[in-house]
Parts: sequence; C-alpha cells; structure tokens
Amino acid sequence: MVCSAQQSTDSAKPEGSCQGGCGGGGTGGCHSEGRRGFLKMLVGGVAVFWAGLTTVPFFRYLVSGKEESEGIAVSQVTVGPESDFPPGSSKNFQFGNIPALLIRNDAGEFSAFNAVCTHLGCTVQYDKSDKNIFCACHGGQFNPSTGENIAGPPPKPLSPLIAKVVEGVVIVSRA
Amino acid sequence: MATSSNPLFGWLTDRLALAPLLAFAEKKKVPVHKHSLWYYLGGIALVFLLVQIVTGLLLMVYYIPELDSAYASILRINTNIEFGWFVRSLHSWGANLMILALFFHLFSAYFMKAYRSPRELTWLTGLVLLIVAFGFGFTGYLLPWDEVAFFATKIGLDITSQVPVIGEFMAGMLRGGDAVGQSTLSRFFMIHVIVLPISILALLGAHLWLVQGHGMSEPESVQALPEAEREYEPFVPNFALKDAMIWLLVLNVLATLVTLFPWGLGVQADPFAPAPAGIKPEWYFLGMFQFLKFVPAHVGPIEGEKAGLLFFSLIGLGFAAAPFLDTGKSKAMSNLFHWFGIVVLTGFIVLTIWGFVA
Repeated sequence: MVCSAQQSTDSAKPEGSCQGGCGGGGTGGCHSEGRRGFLKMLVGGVAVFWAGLTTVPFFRYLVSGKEESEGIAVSQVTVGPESDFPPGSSKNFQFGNIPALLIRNDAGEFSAFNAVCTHLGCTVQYDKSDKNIFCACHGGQFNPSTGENIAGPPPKPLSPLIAKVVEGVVIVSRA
Repeated sequence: MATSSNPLFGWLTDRLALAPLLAFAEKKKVPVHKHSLWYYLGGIALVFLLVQIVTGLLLMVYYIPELDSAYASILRINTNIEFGWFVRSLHSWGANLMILALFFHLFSAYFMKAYRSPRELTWLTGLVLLIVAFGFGFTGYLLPWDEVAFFATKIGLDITSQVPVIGEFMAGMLRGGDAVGQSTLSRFFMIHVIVLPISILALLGAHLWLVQGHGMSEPESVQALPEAEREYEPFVPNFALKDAMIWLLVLNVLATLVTLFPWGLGVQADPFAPAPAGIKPEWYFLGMFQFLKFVPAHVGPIEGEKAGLLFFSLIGLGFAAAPFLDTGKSKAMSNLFHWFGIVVLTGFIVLTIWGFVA
C-alpha cells in the first residue's frame, strides 16, 4: 500500500508515474507493476468467467431438446404376427426412436438389428436376392444372421436386437 | 462526372457524403487481358445470391418448418400457389448455379495466383464464403423433408460427428437429439434463414471491401509486362455495363432452366424406412460422396470415414495455406500449388462424373 499512499499525497501526478514515486522512496522495491499485472489478470479472468457463465443458459437451452428426445426409451416392440413373415422376408420398422430391421431367413429363423448403418448413419435394408443386408448410400453390406460388416466401408457390425416369437407374434427387444 | 449536372444527384451526393466514393469509382480501373473473363465470376455469384435472398423471402411466406407440414407446404408451393413452382425452382436452381459460379471463381482466382500478397485475406474470406454457401446448401436441402433430404442430413451429421473431440457435440447440437427430427428441422431452418444470411452478408462485405481496397489481381504474365504495355478499362461505365450485361445473361440462363426443368420434390421422408436405392446428394457433394464409397472400413489405425474426413480437411487446409506458402518467391512452391490445384480439380470432376453415372 506504499504506492497508493504516495499517490494519495500527490494527486497531481499523472497515472503511471506511480512506479517512479515508489522506486524513489521504498527500500523493499515497488510492486506496482506486478500489482497492475495481477489486477489486469484478475479483471480478464473475471471477464472470461463471466462470459463463460452467460453462455450456460443458452447452452442448456439448446441441449434440452436433445435430452427430451432421448427420454423415449423403448425396451420391446411387437412387429406383427409370425404368419406375416414367410421365410426370406424382412421388414423395416420403428423401435422407439431408431429404425430397425427384422429378417426371417430361409430356414425360418428371425434376426433383428438396429438398422442404422455403422458407416454414416443411413438406414439399411435386406436384399432378398443377394441374401444380405445392404446400405443404399455407400454400398455397405452386412451378414443377415449376425449383423457382421462383410463388405464396403462400414467399420463395425450392426447392433443386434433380440427377435422372439411369443404365442405366434414376433416381438423384438433390446439385446 | 456527367451526372453531377442533375440537381437531385448533386443534393444526394452532398447529403449522403458520397463524394469520396464517387471519386473512387471514377478512378477504379480493371485490367484488360486474355484472362479478364474470369473477373466476372464474383459478380455472377453475387447476382445469384441476390436471387436467393429475394426468392428465399418469398418461400418463407408459405413454407412451414414443422415435421408434418414441411413436405406438404413445399408440395403446396409447387402445385397450388400461383408461380410457386417458379419461385421455388428459382431458389433451387439459383443455389446450384451460385455454387457453380463460386467454384469457377475459386479455381480461376487460384490458378491466376490471385491469393498472393496483399490478397491473403481476400482469399481466406472467399474460402469461408464457399463454406457458408455449402452450409446454405446442406441446411436448405433438409427443409422440404423428402427422402433424399433426410438421408443427406443423416450422412452429413454423421460426417460432422467424426470430427475429433468436438464432432459429437457439434452434430448433437445441430441434430437436437439422437435422431434427425423436428429439432433438426427447426435448427436447420433457423440456421438457413438467419444465421447463415447474416454471416454471408458480413463476410461478403469484408470480401468486397478487400477487393476494392486491393483492386483486381493481375496474373503473373500480365505483371511481367512493362507498365506501358498493360491495358486497363474504367470500372464505370465500361466494366460495370459489361457486368450488367452478363448478369442479364445469367438471369436468362436461370429463367430458361427454371422454366424447362422446374425443380421437383421426392417422396416424403420416412425416418424409419430404408435409404432408397440409388440415393445421391447434390452434385457439389457428389465427388465427396463417391470418394467415401471407396474408402475401406479401416485405413491403418483409423476408421475409414475418419480417414476420409481427414483427407478432405487436408485439401481444405492446402487451399487455405496457399497464400502463405506460395508467396511468389519460390518457383518450386508455385508449381507445387499449381499441380495441387490441378489434381484436386481433376479428382473432383472425375469423382463427380463417376458419382453421376454410378
């Protein structure tokens, strides 16, 4: 506080002359520059913190819609009567808020997958003649029994769902 | 100027303090040489932008950015509203022609080395303007909510999510959830009609300010000529009138395309249906789309789509770095960037044509 005391006694001194005044009179050196730097940092820090803080409501506002849509969690879906799916048939259907795919192979076994292609998110479909799952966007292919990526750019297999026949009705649930 | 004899003009000049601007316009000269034709491209892109602003405002009168109404409202514009098809086609064709003009503008400026000092910032603002134009294309494409629009958005957002660290966050903010839906439509609409227009006007202001400040760039071959052998023409009225004539010509091209090939509308999007066979994005994304088909699932340790994104980013970075690396001092660097441009342009054209015929 040496500096401010000096300043208060000599109000005619222009701003910034503090250091000279301190340097002349103090034996312990002048801390004015350091104090100014500290204050600058403090004010800057408060400004950044304040600016950051003001973005919070807007950020929360924008992500709120996202949380709402994720709240719709579905654990199982009734796709239809077993008789609707002869061997070699398939159906794209809605599983909660994701597109899904049900396949019945020639042996009569059901398989179901999350139909979102693991490449760039298009919706895949079953190709009856080639007996594989394919994506029309970039030509990715998947194994219809396991969901394994077998050709094209997809880097991962399709996420599996569980397909069961309960009392003649096909029910798909989360794996 | 001759017009100063008009008392109203004189009055306005005084009141609006236009004297310095008029003096500048009077002095402004445009180089005349065998590559001068390329100077008109920026103006052509600008006239298409004006068409976009006017037709965009008109479309907003009837368009409804709501999941169950978006498609129906575009269908209504196309079929029930008088000249609705015309306004919408002007907007869609205009957008495509604007991007085409921007491509020509970019590559002509690039190959004439117009990015060199002191025009580095003119070049960079131009690149950002092209990105904003892509942003317009991407966000506007979803608004009709048809099948192709829906999947194009899914792919685009998935590519966005591949960006390291911030990708998932950015894609999530744009999508407004984990699936493309109403939140996405609302956000894209807001970005398309408010955020991007404000950005493009600000950037364009900066770009044009810089163009005026530095004048037209001259190709190396012209710069090498002695001062006496260089030819110039006054901007007002010579170049401005030619500009106006070309604008009239491109507006006629637009009107012809719109009348002969009105813009259609696909099948309404069904978020749970598979992607239709033969799905393709707009031509300016077709090269990238085709490229992504050939990137294998994994490139070394990185996933294929990340590698693809990295590759596109490096190309973009190459263009952005051009003015700072190819400063005109090194012949080798000049050649390197020349060939970089040729390879990128050729690759882009080949992949785009391939995408069309595939």
